[in-house]
Amino acid sequence: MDITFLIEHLPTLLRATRVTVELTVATLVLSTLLALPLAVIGIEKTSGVSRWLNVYALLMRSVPALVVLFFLYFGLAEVGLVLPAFATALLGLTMSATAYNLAIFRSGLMSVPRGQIEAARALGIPDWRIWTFIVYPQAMPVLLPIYLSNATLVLKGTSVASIITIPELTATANEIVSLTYRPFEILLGSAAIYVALGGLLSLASRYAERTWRTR
Amino acid sequence: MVTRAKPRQPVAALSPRLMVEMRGVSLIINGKAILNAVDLDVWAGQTVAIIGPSGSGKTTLLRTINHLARPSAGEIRLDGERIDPQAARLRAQRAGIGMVFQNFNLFRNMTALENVMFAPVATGRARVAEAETRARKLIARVGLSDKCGSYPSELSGGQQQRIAIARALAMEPKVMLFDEATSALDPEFAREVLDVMSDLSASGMTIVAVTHEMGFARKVADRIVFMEAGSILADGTPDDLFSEAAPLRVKRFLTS
Ligand SMILES: Nc1ncnc2c1ncn2[C@@H]1O[C@H](COP(=O)(O)OP(=O)(O)OP(=O)(O)O)[C@@H](O)[C@H]1O
Ligand SMILES: [Mg+2]
Repeated sequence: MDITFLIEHLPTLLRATRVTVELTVATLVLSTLLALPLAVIGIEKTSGVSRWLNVYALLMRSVPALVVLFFLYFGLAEVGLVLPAFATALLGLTMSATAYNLAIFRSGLMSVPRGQIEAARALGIPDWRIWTFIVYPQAMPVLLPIYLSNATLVLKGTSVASIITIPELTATANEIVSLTYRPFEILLGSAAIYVALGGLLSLASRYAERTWRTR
Repeated sequence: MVTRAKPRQPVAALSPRLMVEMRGVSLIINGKAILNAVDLDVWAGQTVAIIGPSGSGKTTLLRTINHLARPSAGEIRLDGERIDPQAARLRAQRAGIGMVFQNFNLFRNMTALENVMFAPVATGRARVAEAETRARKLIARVGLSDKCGSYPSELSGGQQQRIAIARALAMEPKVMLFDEATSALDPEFAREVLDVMSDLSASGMTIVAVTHEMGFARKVADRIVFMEAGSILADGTPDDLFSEAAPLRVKRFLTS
C-alpha cells in the first residue's frame, strides 16, 4: 500500500466523486418527485392507470439498470435521438429509481388506515391536502427506512453510468488503474469514498427516522 | 306497509324545511341492488334513527348522502340543492354534511385540537387563529378541553369519538350523519357519546343516525326508519314502531 500514490491521484478521484454525487442527488430528487404523486394512484382502488404503473414498476425493477442505460444510449441514437451522456444516465437511473420508489411509497401509503381518507373526504378537504398532510406524514415512519436504504443502492447504482462514458467515481478509478496498473490503492480509495458517502446517507436516515417516529 | 312520519313541529319557520331529500336512490354493485329505489325526507331539526339487520344497507344509505358511495340512480338534495358530482362542488357540499364513523377515523398524526381545526383551514373557510378559537369551543362542548394537546392514541375510544364529532361540527354542517357511532365502544364510553348526540339533537341539529342503541332511537329520535335488503320497510315515530301495530318484520327485529 502506497499512500503517496493514492494522494497523488486523490484530486482526480474527488473530482469524479462530485459527478457521482451529482448523479445520485439528481436521480434521487427526480425519482422522488415523480414517485410521490404517482404512488397515490391506485391506493384507494385499482384503475387502468394504476395497473400500468404496476407493470412499469415490475418491469423496471426486473431489468438491470445496465441494460436500461445501454438501451437508452444506443437505442435512442438508433431512432435519431441523441442525448448527452449525462442526461442519458440520469434518465435511465431515474426510470429505474422511480420504479423502486413507487413500490416503497405504495407500501407506506397502504399502511395508513383507509378510514382517515374517507373522513377527510367527507369533510370536503381537497385530495392533495389529504395526501400531503394526513396520509404521507403517517406513511413516513414505514417508508423512510426502506427509502433511505434504497438511496444507498442508488448511490452505488450510479457506477453503471461508467459504461456510457460518464466520468464518475468508478469509471475514473478504472481509468487510473488501467493507466498505472496499480489497482490496489486506487480501488481501496474509491471504495472508501463510497463508504463515506453511504455513511452520510445513513446519518441522514438516522436523523430522519428520529424526526418521523411513529406516534 | 310503510308508514310515513309527519315532520316534527317546525321550530321557527312557518313551513318546514327539507334538509335531506333522497328520491329513488339505488346503488347496484355487480348486479346486486344494495340500495333499492330509496326515498327519504329529513326535515330541518329532525333526528332520524336508521335501524335494521346487518347488511341491510344502512351504512350504504348514509354514504350515498355525501356521495362517498356514488348512487347508480336517483337524486339527493341537501337543503334544496342537488348534490353535484363535479369535484369542486361536491367538496363544498360535503363540507355541509358532518359524518361520524364507527371507527372514529381521527387523523392520527394530529392532536385533538389539530384534528378539529384542520378541515376549516384546509378548505380555506377560516384562518388558523379563528379556526383554533372555534375548535377550542367545540372541544369544550364535548367536554374535552383538557385533551386539546393529546394525540388520538392517547385518548379512549369515547374521547376519540367526541373529538370526531367536534371535528365534524367545525365545518358548521347542515346535517350530521352518524354510522354506529357507539358500536365500537364499551357501554360507559358509549354513554358519553350518546349524551353528546342527544345534546346535539336537542340543540336543533338535523341528525341521521344509524344505530343499534334502541334506547337512543326510542327516546331521542323523532323518527325511526327500518331498513331491510336495501329498502325502507317502515318509517314512523318511535311510538309507531315500538307499538303493537308496527309491521311484523319490525316487531321481530326489535324483539330479537
Ligand atoms: N363496496 C361494496 N362492494 C360490494 N358489496 C358491498 C359494498 N358495500 C356494501 N356492500 C354490500 O351491501 C350490503 C349492505 O351493506 P351495508 O354496509 O350498507 O349494511 P349495513 O346495514 O350497514 O350492515 P351492518 O349493520 O353490518 O353495518 C352488504 O351485503 C354488503 O356486503
Ligand atoms: Mg353498517
